[in-house]
Amino acid sequence: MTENDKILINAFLDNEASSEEIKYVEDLIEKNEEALKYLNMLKKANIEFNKFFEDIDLTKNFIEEKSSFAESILNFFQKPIFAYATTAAVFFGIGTQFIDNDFKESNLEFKYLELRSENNKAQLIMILDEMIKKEISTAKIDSQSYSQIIIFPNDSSNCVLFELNGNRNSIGKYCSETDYIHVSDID
Amino acid sequence: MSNFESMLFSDSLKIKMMNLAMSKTFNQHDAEDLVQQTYLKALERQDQFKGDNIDPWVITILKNLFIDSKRKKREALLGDDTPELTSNDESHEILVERDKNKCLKSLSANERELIALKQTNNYQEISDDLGIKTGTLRQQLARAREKFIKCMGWEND
Repeated sequence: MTENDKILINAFLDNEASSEEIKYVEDLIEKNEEALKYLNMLKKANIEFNKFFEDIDLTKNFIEEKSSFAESILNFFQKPIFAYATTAAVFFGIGTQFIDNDFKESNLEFKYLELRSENNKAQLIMILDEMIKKEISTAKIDSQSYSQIIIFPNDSSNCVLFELNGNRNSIGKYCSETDYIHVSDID
Repeated sequence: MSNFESMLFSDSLKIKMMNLAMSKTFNQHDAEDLVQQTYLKALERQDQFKGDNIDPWVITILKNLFIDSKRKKREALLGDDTPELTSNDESHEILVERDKNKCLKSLSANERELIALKQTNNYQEISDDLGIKTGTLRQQLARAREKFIKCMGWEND
């Protein structure tokens, strides 16, 4: 059995073979035990693939979620607190203090380069990443725009909840693995 | 709902995206997050979409988002806890772990994509989605399945 025979047997199994190819494969599996065995292994593999993908839960309704999600993201990044970014290349420091279940107590200072407005999201992610990496739950920020960011780690996932500027109405969720960030402003 | 959103939120595309996401993350929650992000990104960039077939465009977004997340984390969501099979340790792995998930993970990302898309699409549709020729698709799909079969150890049964 050649490599091309194997390709044809795959196509045959997928109902993607031409009439000539079907005839060829039918003859092949009738006369060649190795080809028949290969066909049966492919069937077995397909059964396993089907099982794997059939287990996926497709009930999640993304449509209902998308409106509020998109709006909240859009609204958030239009807030004045991010207007500072027009002055590029300004350094600001972060002093930190915190007590949290999993995060250690620490007093650290960081300096970040302020980015331009289109990179606000990236900047916020950068700060959150640094806080997670350093295991800092509360960051007091020496900046006219930010006052502080508090994060609340979630043991059950790789995501954290966070609060901006000490405002309990401005909370968000950030998942570092996927760059997922979602902030809600409750007026 | 606009025409764009009708295409974007079609059931067939949702299933395709979930299958693809699962083939990459092997985790329902992560797959849903990836699909959610893909929807958001597609909505943000809808003015960039041109054409009648939205599927290839959305699939590209999903794949790029997954690559970005991997690059950022510096560890794959998939497979990092499971060393890639090599020719040296393959026989040992097969004897010890005839495990479907591990064997799926041993396939390349491209091979898993093909397997995932094959669940709901014919060769022509997959070729269109991925921008490859059907002849190439035939070869790659056959190679992916054979790799899986070898990993499962069925050749020796």
